Amino acid sequence: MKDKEVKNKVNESFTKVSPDDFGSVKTTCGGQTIERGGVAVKTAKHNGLFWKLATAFLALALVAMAVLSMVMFIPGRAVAATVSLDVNPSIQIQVNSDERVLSVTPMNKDGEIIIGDMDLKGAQLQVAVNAVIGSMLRNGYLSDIANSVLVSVDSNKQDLYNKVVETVTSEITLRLKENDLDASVLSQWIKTNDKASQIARDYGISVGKAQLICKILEQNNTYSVDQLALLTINELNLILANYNLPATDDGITQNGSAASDKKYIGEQEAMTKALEKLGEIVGAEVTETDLTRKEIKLDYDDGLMVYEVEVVYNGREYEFEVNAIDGTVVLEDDKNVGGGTSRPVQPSDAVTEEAAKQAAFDKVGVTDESLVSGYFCERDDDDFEIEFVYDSKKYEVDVTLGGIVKSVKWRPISNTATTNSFLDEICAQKNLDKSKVSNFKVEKDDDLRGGKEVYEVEFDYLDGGRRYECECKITADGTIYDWEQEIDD
Amino acid sequence: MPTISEQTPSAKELDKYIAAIAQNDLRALETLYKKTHTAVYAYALSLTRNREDAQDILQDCFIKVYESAHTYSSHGKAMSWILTIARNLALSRFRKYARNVPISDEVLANVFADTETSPEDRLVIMGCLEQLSEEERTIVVLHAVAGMKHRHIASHLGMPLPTVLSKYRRALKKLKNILTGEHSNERQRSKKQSE
Repeated sequence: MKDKEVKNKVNESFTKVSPDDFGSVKTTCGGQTIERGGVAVKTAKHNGLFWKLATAFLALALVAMAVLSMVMFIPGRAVAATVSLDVNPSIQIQVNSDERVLSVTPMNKDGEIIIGDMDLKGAQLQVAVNAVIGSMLRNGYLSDIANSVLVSVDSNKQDLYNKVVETVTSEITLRLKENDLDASVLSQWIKTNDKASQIARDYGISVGKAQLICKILEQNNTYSVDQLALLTINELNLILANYNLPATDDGITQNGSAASDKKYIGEQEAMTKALEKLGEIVGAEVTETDLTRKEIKLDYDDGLMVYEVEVVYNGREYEFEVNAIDGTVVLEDDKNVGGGTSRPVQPSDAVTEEAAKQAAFDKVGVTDESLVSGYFCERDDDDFEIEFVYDSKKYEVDVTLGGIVKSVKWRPISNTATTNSFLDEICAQKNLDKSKVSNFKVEKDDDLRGGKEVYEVEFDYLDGGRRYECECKITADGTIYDWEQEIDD
Repeated sequence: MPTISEQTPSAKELDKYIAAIAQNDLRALETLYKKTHTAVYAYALSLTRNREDAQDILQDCFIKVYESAHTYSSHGKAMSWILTIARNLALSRFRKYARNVPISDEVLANVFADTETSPEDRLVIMGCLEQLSEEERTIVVLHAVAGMKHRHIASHLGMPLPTVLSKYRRALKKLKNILTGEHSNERQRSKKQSE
């Protein structure tokens, strides 16, 4: 994390807590007579009636302020915990130390549907959760095909966290039970996590859901945030079931039953579909008893919920992905594992190099193939290894013979010409001596300014025995802005 | 979101508003309030660590600015002048109410009442209020929120510039640790020591 980011965060946080109440200042100043340079200046001309009214208003305002400040000092008004309920609707509930609700806020459009015109302020947390979950059931967000709720609690006290989680989990379980559903409740303690906060901001999801996504990414970084952010809590819960998360204080606890998979074709059907495909490949009917090993799990890949089926048949291991909704089967990989008659990969099993190339380009997001350079593809027994340069990055993409992108690696290609031109431009515009510049770094920013690409530049400048840390942004056509320089001691 | 440099008004701009306020221009006062109230409130909060006190100081400060605008002569240092008024109000409050007692957790947490803050915002502010020394806190707020240059902060606080710079760096490092979660162990250790 850079110093500038911390500085911006401090600024942003204080801005959020700062009250904006010029009215009270105006009321006081508007009626004052001020001696300025020995001359009495009455700031506003008011008749007697105005003064009477103004005095009465001021008195009322003072009484109101006094009452308000007394109310604010009552300990029960302080926020002791913030509870987020995520299903797909996202709801935030703030409570005091007695679990009385101080506010209920929908965090997304679905959340707005759930809350509607309910006023839960002042209710006990249990009552509020009952109402919110009831509304989710009525609106179909919770059902036999989606029984998962994520409960995220932000509190700096462990005992209160435990108490709140207990209250909320029990109420959710009970409410679903009344509707003949087995709840699957995930609970977690919200911890400050830059990455989660950033994801929450970027994707407009709750910090709780973002923290859950981070936990999944820690287990398997081949998932992309783009895709996980779109999933419901039930889908994330299903993915989570494939991993044993470590029991840490910010870990995730699961209560109740497993996430519902009733929306999908089921493991047995997926296995049948995979074996049908295997039969087509080997040219013979294959049943489960012919297999020496089989594994199946419901997972998420490339925007789809899939059953990943791994079987060993006749000394060769086959990996299939079965679409969990429509049962479409794709051979993802196969390799010789010994112990039987090996069967070489048949051309009919594999996609063409052109299809593999297209899969790699689609994954990277190549929109204009004429901008791709250094393309190279090598096919071996198990996959296609594709390398190319695009958008100042060198990509290495591994595509299975079945046309599935297994991994994408990339590294930036430094563009010396761009770096040098920015260095020249900045030195010219800011009247700097190029020889005193060091650690000159250029990074492309996501923003555009006036339709031009923006680059973030950082460098050190040694002058008069002092080292300055300089930062700025520069557009592709050389416009410099957000210039900052600080002495580095 | 506007960057800090865009949010921070220039010294020239502030001088212009104060000159107009000296002519009893309430609209200029309102504009000055809009441009600087966050800095004044953050500074007052960093001094008092109490929401109600900081709110009172914020209000009193702008009333005082209105009353004293014609005496303003430190051209180019308007922010420092406004913040000096805020500091004097805080000091007089301390004297009046003998506020030397430690601030309770509840009073600190009250800073967030009726605000739309994220857990991270709360962590940053609680980090400033609880984990930084008063000098570190003040320097961070003056630089990050009020947009003052380090040399102006040095002059405002009557401190040597290198001291301001090293305290700022130390404070930022602490906040960085807090934001990346590395503070919890240190905090637990220091709690144990104090027990």
